[in-house]
Amino acid sequence: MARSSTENMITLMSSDGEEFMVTEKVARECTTIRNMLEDDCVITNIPLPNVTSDILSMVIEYCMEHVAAAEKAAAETAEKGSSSAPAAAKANKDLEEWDKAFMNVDVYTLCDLILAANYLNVSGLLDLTIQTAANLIKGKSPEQIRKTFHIQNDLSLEEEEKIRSQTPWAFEKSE
Amino acid sequence: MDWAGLPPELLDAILAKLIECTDHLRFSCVCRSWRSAARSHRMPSSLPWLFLPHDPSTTILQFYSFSEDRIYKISFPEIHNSVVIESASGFLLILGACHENPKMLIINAFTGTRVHLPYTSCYFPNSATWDYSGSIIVGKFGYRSGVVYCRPGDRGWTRIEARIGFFSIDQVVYKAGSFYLRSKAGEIYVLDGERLELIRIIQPPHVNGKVPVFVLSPDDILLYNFSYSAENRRVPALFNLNYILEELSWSQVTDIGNYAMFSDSHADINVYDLAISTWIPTLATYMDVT
Repeated sequence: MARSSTENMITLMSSDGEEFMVTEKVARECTTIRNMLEDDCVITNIPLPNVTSDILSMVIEYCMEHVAAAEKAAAETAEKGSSSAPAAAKANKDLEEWDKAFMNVDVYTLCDLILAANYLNVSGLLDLTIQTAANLIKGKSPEQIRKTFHIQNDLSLEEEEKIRSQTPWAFEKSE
Repeated sequence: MDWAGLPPELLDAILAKLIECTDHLRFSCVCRSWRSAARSHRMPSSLPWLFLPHDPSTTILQFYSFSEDRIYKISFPEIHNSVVIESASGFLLILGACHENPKMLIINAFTGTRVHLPYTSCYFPNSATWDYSGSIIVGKFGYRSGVVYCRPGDRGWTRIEARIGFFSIDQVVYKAGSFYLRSKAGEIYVLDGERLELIRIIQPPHVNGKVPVFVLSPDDILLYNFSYSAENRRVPALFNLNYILEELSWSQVTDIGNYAMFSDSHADINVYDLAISTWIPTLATYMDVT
């Protein structure tokens, strides 16, 4: 995609020292970075000690896709004078499909993405990852949840029995 | 980082997306950190469950969950030799079936909260109407009974006397310090909650249908009605009473967001399915669980 040469580029540095050059517009999708840029507008190099390169590249991929979708919608609105509802609905659906495919990751990556989205404050990505985690929990028994997320049960037998005995019906298998 | 080590605010965000009480309860049993996150999170208000007809000789009640497509059997020792009256505000009303068993209480199945009430006889429990706001319970327990209220801890019920014929009252709700009594003709009598004085009478919004009914909702006073289209299809209409303003007025609700409305018209209940916008008739009384 052609970009004007006047557009500022920002370098994001991951915890393992890899550098990612992104446009300011993409970087500003992260509220944490946007706040940094607003405090200090000449900043061009931002170290992100909490985010590894593989997770940072995914966050950037998400931000780029969403910025591109917003730009495309804005361009169409400018061209036609007003946005056409069916076209906007299709664009939204395409982006939703993209998000869905983007969430096809293992639970370890999902966990890291939640933490990165929270740290960088990318509200759309945080909502998407949290919803994905919730969907993996829905309808599952505690044992199935532990298996899905590789969680060690650190509750004692007595503690677990106490929780279950308060609402035993919630832990019964469906007939 | 692993899932058990997620910061509490992120576990809280996941809990906020779990709209079923059952998912919330199972979440709390996964590990210690998840348990502590679930404990500090408010129990969600899930989709209503259908309350299936029960056998009075047992202490088991059966509920059908739409979203999970399964039946839950819950045991309540208190229902032995008692009548279970329709729910309101997430609570089931339990009434001793005879004078030898004069008990009356409300139970929330999910939180286990039990509120014991003074006993009042109820000759036609099927026509009982009541509302519980946490600080006050108001009801008309049976066809020939008057409208009565009490606060948890009161030793008896207080009768609401007004210049209204109480035989004609069909439904009562309590909101923001006032009682709202709906008559069979559809008018709404507003009474001050402290002085029990009649403040005003409100006419229901005009819909070419049946007498409107109150829809129990945690925050709003909603009135439901329907008319018939040319193709003889039911056209639902929902109105919200702007009761906070000095001038009480109705506004039509065109969008209820993610809520589903369960309405009761005699023996047959209609479930409004938002996704496919059709009415699904079912044959059971309902329980609105919050």
